[in-house]
Amino acid sequence: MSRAAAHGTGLFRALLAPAAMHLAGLAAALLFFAELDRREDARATHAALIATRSALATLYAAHGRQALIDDMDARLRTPEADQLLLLAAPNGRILGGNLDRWPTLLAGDSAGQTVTLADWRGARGRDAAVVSVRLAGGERLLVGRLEPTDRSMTPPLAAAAALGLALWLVCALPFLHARRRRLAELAAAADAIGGSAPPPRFHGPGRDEPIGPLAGALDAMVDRLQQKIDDLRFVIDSLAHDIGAGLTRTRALVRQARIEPPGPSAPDPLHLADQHLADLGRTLAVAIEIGRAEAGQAHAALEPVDLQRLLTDLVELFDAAAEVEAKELHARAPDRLIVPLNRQLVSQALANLVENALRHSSGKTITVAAAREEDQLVLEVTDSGAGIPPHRLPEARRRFGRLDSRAPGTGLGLTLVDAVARMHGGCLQLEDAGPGLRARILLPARCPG
Amino acid sequence: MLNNRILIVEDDAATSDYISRALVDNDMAPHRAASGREALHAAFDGQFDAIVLDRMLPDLDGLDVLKALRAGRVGAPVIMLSALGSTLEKVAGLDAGADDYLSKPFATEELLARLRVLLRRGAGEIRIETRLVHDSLCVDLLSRTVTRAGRQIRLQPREFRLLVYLMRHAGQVVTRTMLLEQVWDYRFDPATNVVDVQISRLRRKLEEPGDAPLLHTVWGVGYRFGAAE
Repeated sequence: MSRAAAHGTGLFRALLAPAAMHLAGLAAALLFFAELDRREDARATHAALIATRSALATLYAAHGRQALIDDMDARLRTPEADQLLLLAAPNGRILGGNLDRWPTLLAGDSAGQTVTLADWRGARGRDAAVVSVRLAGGERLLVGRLEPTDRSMTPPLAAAAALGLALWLVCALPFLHARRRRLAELAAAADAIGGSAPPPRFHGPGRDEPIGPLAGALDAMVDRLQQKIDDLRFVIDSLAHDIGAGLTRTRALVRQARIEPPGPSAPDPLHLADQHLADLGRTLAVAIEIGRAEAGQAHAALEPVDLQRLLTDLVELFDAAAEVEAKELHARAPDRLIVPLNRQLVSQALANLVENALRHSSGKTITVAAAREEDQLVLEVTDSGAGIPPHRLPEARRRFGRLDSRAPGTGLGLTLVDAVARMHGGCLQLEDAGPGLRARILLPARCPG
Repeated sequence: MLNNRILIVEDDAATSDYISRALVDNDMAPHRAASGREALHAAFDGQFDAIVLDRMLPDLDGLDVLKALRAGRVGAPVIMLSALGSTLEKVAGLDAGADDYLSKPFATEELLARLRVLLRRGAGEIRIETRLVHDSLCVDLLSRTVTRAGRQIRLQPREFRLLVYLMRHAGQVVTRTMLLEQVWDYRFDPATNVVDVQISRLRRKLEEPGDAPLLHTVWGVGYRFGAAE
């Protein structure tokens, strides 16, 4: 099927469903109004029948049977074709009126009911609304009116329905057509994602349209994907650079070792090469760990962790290193703060923050703290050094971002912290501790049991 | 003394050669298997003192081989090797019944140090101790006190664990990673030399001027507790 034909069929389908719904609604409305109309008619008929019955009964009471029969004859001579009257003697004999027998299911006294006439001028099964009364002399009087045989739609209502449908078609067609064209544009834009051209925009400039929020959400999604792709490209470039540079240095050292034996005072090139390889291995291990944490695979390893214990362990590992740097390391956490965490990854994240503080801060004290703040769990490492100027914070967070390119490290430290925080449903914040830097891992507070 | 028989399960011939040569150099008898099935045949047929098992094999997952070995009542200690070096992979390996887990790339010294610890553990040296004594150094495990030549030495809780671990493996080389795993229960490698400075501080506390050194640095590998060699 050609694209134009497919488009046409699609348009027809798109029109059919709303049109059917429109007609169904219209039919329901008509039925409703017709029913209202019928009930109103029934009420008016009933009132008229009661009034006629009263008038006839009064006439009978005042002037007797014959006067009643005469009045009935006079009434039946008028052109009201649907009028029913009947007077039956106490023995059942018909004394007057236009029915040839008393309806089977009608009592002598009835305040109003519908009966079916077995035979009415050749037509079978005509319905009629009737009232009856037993008169003082024992006669039974019936006053009734035939129900209409069919209730056609009230002409103004039918006309309104037809006009509504026509107006609907006139208004809806261009609107639906425009909407289908817009959806086709969105589909084309989606098709173009991943191609060589720059990513398309779904939300046109200055467009105010009903599907604006959808187009906006799609644009935001494309931006997020693009950011991820840019991040990934940056990581691959940086990894390639770091690994390439490390391997080049290592090869040079191995070559040097093959050519000339090391002098007694010079460092052993093979030993240096070994160290370079160990560094490369460490960079790779951290990159793998980040990948795992970001893929959410670390969720499987959540266990209840006592944060006071976790911080004390960490401080006991690093306090000797802090002593060497003439710094003090403190842990601060309340008792029995036990939360489900991945102990290894959270320890590694905090270790990265402590190492950063040991390496880069000129301040004397470093505090590692855990606390519950409202509905959040906060793990933070604060130093009392110079901190990071606000404009350089994004650079510090970036993968392989090194504020001091001469400093050791993989440049992946904060990225790992960020990934671990996000894996636990939280985030990493860097802020000024006035003086110093405070790195805060904010996690949603969850406490087992 | 009989050479320890070690089964190496590794499909990469170069790595297998490299491990095999290191084992021969250290008086061990390697036997090589290049696939999971070959490994299972060899392990069920022969008696091995330890198994070095690669995680990624051409036919079977190393974890499945390990589970099959344990199900078949092969009790030899197993070190898993893997390029999947993440913490989670290590935990999965240990949960499946591995005695140790080593990420690639690794140094042969690291593998040898870990193998020796496992071999000694496998030799049935399980005994209930309340005191560890080496020369004039005495560690009371119940009262958690340390004395050297009658002199009381105050240690922090982790320093105490570090000393106990070193003394229990006296004469053996233990690597920094082994210490991080066994003393601190950390399966990641901090970038700073935290273990080295911990050892230096412990050494300062244990050794006064004139005392015989007890903690020896094994260059490029790790540490050894005991008398000088």
